Amino acid sequence: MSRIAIIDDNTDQSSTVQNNIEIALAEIGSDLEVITSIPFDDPNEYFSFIERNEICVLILDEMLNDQSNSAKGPVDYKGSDLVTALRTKLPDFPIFALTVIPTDSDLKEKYSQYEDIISRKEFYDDANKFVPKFWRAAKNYLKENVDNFSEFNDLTKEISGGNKDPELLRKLQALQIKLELPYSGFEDRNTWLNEYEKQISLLEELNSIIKAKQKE
Amino acid sequence: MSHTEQQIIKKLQVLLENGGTDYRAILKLSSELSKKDKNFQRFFIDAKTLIHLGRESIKDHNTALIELVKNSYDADANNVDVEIKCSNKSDIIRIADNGFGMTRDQLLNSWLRIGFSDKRHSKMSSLGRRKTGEKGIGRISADRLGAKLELISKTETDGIVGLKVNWDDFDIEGKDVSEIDVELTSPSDINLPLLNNEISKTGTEIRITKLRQPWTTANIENLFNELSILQPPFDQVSDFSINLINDIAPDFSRPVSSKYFEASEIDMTVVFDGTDEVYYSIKDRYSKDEIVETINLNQFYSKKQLNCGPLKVRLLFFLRDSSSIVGTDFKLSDLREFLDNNFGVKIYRDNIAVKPYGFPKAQLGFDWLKIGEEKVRNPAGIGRGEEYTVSPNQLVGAIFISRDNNELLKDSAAREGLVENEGFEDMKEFVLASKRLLESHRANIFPKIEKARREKQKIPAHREAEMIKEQLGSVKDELISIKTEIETGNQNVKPVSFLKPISRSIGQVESISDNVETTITELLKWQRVLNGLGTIGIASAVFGHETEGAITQFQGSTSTAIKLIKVSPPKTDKAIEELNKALKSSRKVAAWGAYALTRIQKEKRRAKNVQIFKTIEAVIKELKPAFEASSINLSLKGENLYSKTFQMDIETILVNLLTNAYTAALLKGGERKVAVKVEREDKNGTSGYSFSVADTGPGIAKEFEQRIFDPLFSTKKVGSNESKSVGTGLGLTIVNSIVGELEGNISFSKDAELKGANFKIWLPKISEKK
Repeated sequence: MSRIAIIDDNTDQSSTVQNNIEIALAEIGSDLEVITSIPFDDPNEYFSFIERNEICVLILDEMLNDQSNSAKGPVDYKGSDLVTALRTKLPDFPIFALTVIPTDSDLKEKYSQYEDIISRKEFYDDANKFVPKFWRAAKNYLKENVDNFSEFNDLTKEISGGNKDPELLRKLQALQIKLELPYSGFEDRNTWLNEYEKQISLLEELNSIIKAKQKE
Repeated sequence: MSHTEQQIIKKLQVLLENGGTDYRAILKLSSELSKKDKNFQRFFIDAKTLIHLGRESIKDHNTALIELVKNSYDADANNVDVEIKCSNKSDIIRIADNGFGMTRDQLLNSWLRIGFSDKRHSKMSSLGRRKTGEKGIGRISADRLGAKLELISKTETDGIVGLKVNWDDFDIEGKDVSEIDVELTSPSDINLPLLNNEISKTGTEIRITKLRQPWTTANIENLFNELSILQPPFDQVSDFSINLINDIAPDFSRPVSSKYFEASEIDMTVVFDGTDEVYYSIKDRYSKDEIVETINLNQFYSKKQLNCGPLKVRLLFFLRDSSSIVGTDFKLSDLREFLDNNFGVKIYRDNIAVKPYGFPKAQLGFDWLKIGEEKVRNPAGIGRGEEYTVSPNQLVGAIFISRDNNELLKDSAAREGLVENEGFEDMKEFVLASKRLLESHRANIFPKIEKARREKQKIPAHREAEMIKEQLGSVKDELISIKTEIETGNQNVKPVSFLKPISRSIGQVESISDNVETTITELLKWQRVLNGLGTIGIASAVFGHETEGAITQFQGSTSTAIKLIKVSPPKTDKAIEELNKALKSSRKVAAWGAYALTRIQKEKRRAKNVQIFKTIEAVIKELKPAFEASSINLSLKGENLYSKTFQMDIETILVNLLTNAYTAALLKGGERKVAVKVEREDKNGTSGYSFSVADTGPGIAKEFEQRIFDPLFSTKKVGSNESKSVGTGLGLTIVNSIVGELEGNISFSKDAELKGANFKIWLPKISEKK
């Protein structure tokens, strides 16, 4: 099940948005789900969050750094900081900004990195104007990915079956980059196993050094 | 009882032969006899007609009096005394001039002849004046003023002659006008105004008694203004002056004058030679030189030809504010009153105004050029350059025409004013073109005016300083002279003789220090309010996000709740949740509104005994929600203490420091704290107290330390983009200026505990005088 995710430090705010999107999605007959999340302390957590929850659209609040939702206190980044971090690995992912002050200069500076910057007030006034936009962005993103994933699946099967055609390997690498999947960078399973064993022997070495130290 | 023709002739013969001439009876019989004429008969006039004629040709007693003054003008008088006394049992109007007077012959054959005017066959007086009246009925208008008229006139040839009219005698039904007697008198004396500083040898005096109606102050004022119009105001001609004397409005008991023209901003004359050339000159208060140009008519005005004949237009443009009276003797209120009474463009035919054009109080004439309508249609101010138009009440103007050169501009028989023919329209267009010339000139010089105005504004302070210096100087001189006198030990000097000069000096010093104190107090009061307002502005910009967010959430939750109820099935639980959120948000908005309102309360702007800790506590309580919304823990520690000070100053300092601390704390994630501390603290032997604001922000970079109190300097820069500043750069400047005024001290350091900045204010503690 694909989902739209709302990232906001203010849970009152995000649940109101959630309600609005859900109502509007039901009206246009979409089967997307909507979830909310408070900002993560480490921006890298978003990548696994997206993968784990099958997120297809992200809606970011701008002032993510107001509310304290954990013992650690508020995060130290704003929505406009986060979008830049996300774009390093997700160049094509649909990301929208939803904010009280769409004229904020930090936000406007990042305009090109968002699908759109939406005024929270306008959104509440007429959610039906914006939700179809989310829905369309989600569909486009999903279609592209479904096609690519099935090709990726086929290729991996080929290669793991023993096919060593360099043309196939190049295609696989390209798809890995496109789908933002971690690329192993090894030509075949032998090289990978060799490298793996090398790492294990390093660990064993480290272990014996520690043990020696403890004896001293 | 009717007589036969023969009977009448017989009676007449008897009368004529008797020697004792009974003129009245002879006239009556002759007129009775003429009725017997079988071939011809003649009109005869009822005496009452005369009264009707006089009363109906004249609007009011003001106009009646002016008609008589016009006669003086036509008689080449230089000076006219107009005296009106109608209070305290007085009852007289006197008009006396030093004109050429009337001979006995003129009195009997011209003055007594209704409808006669030698002005018709000799349009010019011997001084070259164009005579003003034509109808020859001005004299009977005197009936409007009073029942009795006495006329005394003196000429070089006939000496003093006189007559008396009792207008009430005419007010009888069925009597022929020739039957009413007008008594001839031979007065021995006549009261005439001066001519070239000597009692005039010729002139006319009219004394009207048994006045018809009392004169009010407003009547006199009106008369004064109308009389001022009789004097050609634009040509500085001093050959006709009117002295108004009255016991009703003493302010107007003076020579009639209109020197207000000196106060004009722009003085423009445009002359059309009657063929194709236009000459104009423009003078204004700001330019040294007069602009003089001669251009072709079609350059001035789109028409090639004007049928109205030669024109001279003079337009004076006035500002109705205090800058207009700089360098003149007028009071602003007088100038405004003058403008209220005289604005408009008048037509002067042979230097006498033609009513009703340009008369502010005339319904049809006051804006006959429709300048006001144009201004209403296009209310552009002077800053708008080309589009600017003057307001009708800023313009005093005159169009000079003459009966001989402007034949098309003639009196309407049907009503007051001129015939509105092609010539009249041409004249009107020409005047409007002149007005446009004036407007573009004003738009051109406007930058210069603004500059002059700014410089002028500096004058008052400078003048005040000068004045104070002068006054102090005179006090000093006086005291020195007293000192010398005491030192020389003059035996005759009694201590008591010093009392007066000393108390005078004391009084003067007191008044000076009062003035200075008032000025300074006013300025400080203002600064206090401005500081407070500035602080609200800064705080609003910083905390605005929070308020804006709460308002949006309030609206959003409300509308979402409605949507949730409308869907089927209705999601009531969620709707209630949204409504609760809306309520929460509305409280936040209300709290912020209350904060802004309480900031500049009037009572906080007075120095009084203030509980410092309580004041700070109240501000913190108000701002706490905004801090909490951004996860900043705002804490306060300290002890209560009193000081006589301005509550508003303490609050302004604190709000500014808190605003800065808020911004700084927000720059870091994790635990955020702002701590405020109030303490008793003495400094260099002065009893005082301090309060400090510390934050968990990044602190103040070393390189900025020197500059943070500079106006417009701000460290509130965000992220990597160093060129962008979110602060106004005014907060610490305001704090610094208040602290300076309160003779306190401000310092800052890195806070040992919170690791961010720590700003500390020290202020002297002032105990309230018991």
